[in-house]
Amino acid sequence: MSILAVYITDINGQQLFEYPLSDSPPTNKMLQVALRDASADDIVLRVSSDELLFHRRQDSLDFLIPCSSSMPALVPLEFISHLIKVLHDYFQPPLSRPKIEKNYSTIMMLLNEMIEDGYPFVTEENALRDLVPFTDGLSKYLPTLPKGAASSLKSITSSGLSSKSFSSDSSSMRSNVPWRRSNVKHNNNELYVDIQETLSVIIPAVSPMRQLLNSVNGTSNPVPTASAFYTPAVPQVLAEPIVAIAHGSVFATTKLSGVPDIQLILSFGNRVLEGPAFHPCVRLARWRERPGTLSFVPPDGKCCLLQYTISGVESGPIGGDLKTGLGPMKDEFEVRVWSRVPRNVKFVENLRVEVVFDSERVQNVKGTRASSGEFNIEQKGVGVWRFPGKTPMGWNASLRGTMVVSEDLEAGPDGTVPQEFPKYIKISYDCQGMLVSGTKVESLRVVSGKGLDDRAKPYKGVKYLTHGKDIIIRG
Amino acid sequence: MSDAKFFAKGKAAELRIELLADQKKDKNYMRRKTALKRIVANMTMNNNEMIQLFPDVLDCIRLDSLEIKKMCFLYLINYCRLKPELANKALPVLLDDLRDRSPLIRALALRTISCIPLPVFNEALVDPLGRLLRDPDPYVRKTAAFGVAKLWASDAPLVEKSGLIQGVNQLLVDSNPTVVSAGLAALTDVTDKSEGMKLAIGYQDASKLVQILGDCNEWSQTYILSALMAYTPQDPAEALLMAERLSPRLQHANASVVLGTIRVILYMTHYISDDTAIQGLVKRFGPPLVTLLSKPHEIQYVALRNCLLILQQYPHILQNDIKVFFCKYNDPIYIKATKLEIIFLLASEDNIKEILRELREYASEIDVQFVRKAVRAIGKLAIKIDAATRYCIDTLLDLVATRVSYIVQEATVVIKNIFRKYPNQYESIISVLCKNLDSLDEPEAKAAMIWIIGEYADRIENSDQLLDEFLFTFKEETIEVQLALLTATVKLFIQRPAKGQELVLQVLKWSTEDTDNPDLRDRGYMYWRLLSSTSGNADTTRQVVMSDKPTISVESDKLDARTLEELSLSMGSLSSVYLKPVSQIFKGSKVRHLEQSPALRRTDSNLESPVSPVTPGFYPNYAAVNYFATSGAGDLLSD
Repeated sequence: MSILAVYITDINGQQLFEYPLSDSPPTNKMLQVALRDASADDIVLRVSSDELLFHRRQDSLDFLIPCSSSMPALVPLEFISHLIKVLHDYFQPPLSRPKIEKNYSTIMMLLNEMIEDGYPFVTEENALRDLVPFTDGLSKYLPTLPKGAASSLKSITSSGLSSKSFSSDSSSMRSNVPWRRSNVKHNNNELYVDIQETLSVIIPAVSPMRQLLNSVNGTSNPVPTASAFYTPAVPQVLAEPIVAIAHGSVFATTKLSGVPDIQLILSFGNRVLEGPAFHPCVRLARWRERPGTLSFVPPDGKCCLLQYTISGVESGPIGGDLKTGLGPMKDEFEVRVWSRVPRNVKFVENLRVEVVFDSERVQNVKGTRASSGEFNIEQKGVGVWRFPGKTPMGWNASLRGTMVVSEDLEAGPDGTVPQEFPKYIKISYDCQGMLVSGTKVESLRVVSGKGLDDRAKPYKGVKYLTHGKDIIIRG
Repeated sequence: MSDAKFFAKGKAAELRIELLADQKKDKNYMRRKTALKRIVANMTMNNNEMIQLFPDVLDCIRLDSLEIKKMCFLYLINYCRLKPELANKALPVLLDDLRDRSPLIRALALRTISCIPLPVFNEALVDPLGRLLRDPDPYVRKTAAFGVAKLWASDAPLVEKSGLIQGVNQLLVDSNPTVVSAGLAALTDVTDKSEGMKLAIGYQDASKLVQILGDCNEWSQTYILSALMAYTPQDPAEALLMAERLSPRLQHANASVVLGTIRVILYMTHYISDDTAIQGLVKRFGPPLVTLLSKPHEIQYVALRNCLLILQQYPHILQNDIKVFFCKYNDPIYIKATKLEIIFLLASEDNIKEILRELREYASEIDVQFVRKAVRAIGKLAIKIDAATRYCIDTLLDLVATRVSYIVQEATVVIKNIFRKYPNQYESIISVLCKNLDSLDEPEAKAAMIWIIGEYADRIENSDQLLDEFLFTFKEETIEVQLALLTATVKLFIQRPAKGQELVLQVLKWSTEDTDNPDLRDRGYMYWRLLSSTSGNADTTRQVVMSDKPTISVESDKLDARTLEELSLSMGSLSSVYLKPVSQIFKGSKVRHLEQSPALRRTDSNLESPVSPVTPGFYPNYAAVNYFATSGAGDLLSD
């Protein structure tokens, strides 16, 4: 079980970087052949009788990690995630060919520390910052490698005893924690908490019965769907979502000197947190005693303290629907999208609606009329309706059009080619200032801090962001 | 400074001048650093011109700069392998550094030497390695542990006679958890590759390992978790306690820690006697598995495949989470297909209506491959859940009404299976299928429809006409369809002799005289004999041709107990992703199985399993065989 090499290539497979870890690892050429012959569902490829290839595309670069066959699949896959995170931390996202080419020696030194004998070993950004100097132009903003760098190594090495005493007796903190750089100094002490929720919703098609009722009663039959958070801006006939899941991540960005001990209390309302996953710095015992309490000594800089899943949440500040068979010829479709009026939120950003259709059967979309925003067919089978910048709350827009059916389609039994309509629409947006699950920060304080000036009160900030990622409305 | 411009044409001569610059004028060695960066960049792009600079780079190692040293080491790792004769010159410098005051330099030099698998290097490393395993600095000890594993890989006999393995064993009682896990990882690496050595861990020691888990970083946790698979519980209470103590690891952010924990806990359940306790343990797998679904697609996929594996043994654990597995349109096909399998496994009488609504939705998607899988799943559900058959059939008929060719064909195939499972029921749907014969152009669907016509020839009014239509193209059909036609025609003749007589003669003639296919010919002759010799005894013929078929069930899709055991012991590996035994994927790989112990539960798979090959005399008595046995009980981590 070991990693045989690390390759970074561009998306055409041209090698940009190579880091061999064994005598004769499979070459990039061999890997490219394996990739070319692979089908879409080959997440893990077999390169030879005892070699595997794991790969991921990120920022228009391909990361290829050939491994020996006994490698548990998640080790290299998680390692790629960590490697990308570290490279982002050192060189800023997005990564690019010039960034890789500019920093060969730094990347090599990083991998030299990250992988030991083919095993991922140190991937915490903080520990790596102590071991590998930061030679980019940005380095002047960052603490440089201390003289006699060996001493800094203590942060990862002499961790055993200190972290043990740390979990048993937090008041007598030692200075060294495995995930925290040693001797952290900041002129301005700051502490930020960012909570982001990624919302996935699937809303079923409005049943034909209800559509019928709707058309009998006029164009729109007001069925208010009010909730604790929203009042409906546009009366809608809406089906209940089948799935509404928020995946949340709680990030802490700490710029605090010394070794601060922090307590963050979150409230999740009555929601049940499914499978919370914690950063190693979070004291699990405290969480078990009082769920919602995160007690920790953070790594310097940004880290993800907690990831959680909450299902059955609200469907979010943006709603939409898809109607088909409209117009005099019954061949038109209409997509509507609207923003509700949640408390404390004034706008959403980057709103876009994808209208997805079967590109085998549909040639084009004609006669599109959008009340606002811009609609374009941007890729095969997908029309994108964009609303650049900010979209205010209590707003709505609609888009009408007709799908032009391909000429070479066979006619049905009744001699006509059935009219095509969009299969579904997918809405995405960013909404600052709210969390769709209703999660809140109750309190955030620095409980104690060795090496932190008592008089200097750290600046604290909390931010919420709901990222509507896959709001899918079926047609 | 950026490396981009170094990249163009790194002339070795130019770079040499930089490396030899007057030290007094080269402030902070800036010129040398820049030159070395260029050299490393060129080296990465396989510019072998750089090898000319070997002596000059070697001179730089002694400079008082860590950054320079690191780059020199990278250079040596790259070129020593290619040029052994030059490498020998580098060795004394590296050996000197193994005695450096700075632990970082000792470790770097050690790592460098052990990355150069040349015989001279290997031999020179043995003595210092023994010393460095006991270095006062933990970073050096950790590096030394891996050094032994690397040395073993390049020259196993050298390591085995040196006593270095015992040295690594000592690290397992180190005061530093990172060092302990490095020692374990190194030993696991060696024993995995070795024919003769095997890792074995006792309870006291396993218990200590669990205790230090929380103090380790995620990777160390991963290696300790895989090493724990070498512990065989001797007592049910031990196993339960171990599983309980591991379960907080399920909440780790790193997916490989989560899956590693699930694997060890599942392994423990084989040694736990209390069923309620087992249920309580496996129930905890649900939430962390759901959380993995927010990870990148590749990780999601591995997690989902392993969900399938767990659900085969414990189908109830994710029962309330079924909606989490509903497919998003934009999921890649490999995720969708696996989710579909999970939905199938989670389906029960209680949630079947919701599931059918969802599957009906998938059947109208754009991706044909996925649509087919969805239709197939509906058909399989009809067979899995008796009470739901009617709903499933209604959904299938609804789909047939779309008249989309591939949907109709797929539905026909699964409806045939429904008839197999529930003979003589639901016959009313035959007429619906008969209206769509024109859309059948795939052999599997044709054969299925022909089977249905033959089976129900007496109840389908125009069965002879329908078969006649199919027979029209008999000679162009695939063998699968030809065989189906032959059998169906015989069935027609048996049930309705008058209507079938003409057809059966025709088909028998074609099958015996006009075909090159031995299977078709043999079957044709068999029917011919049967029909002619027992002409007076139609009952016998009927019994042979229309006999009761073995019932089909979805149980046959399940993995057999032994494969399941092997796969759950190697959870997270490639074989768990493919759901195939490792021997089918990699020839000659080690197969995992449950070790015998008084606590081992008796199951189908391990009852007749071969006697455990870990008998004391079987393996040479290497230190690693029983390395923990010597450390005695309870003092693993004491100082």
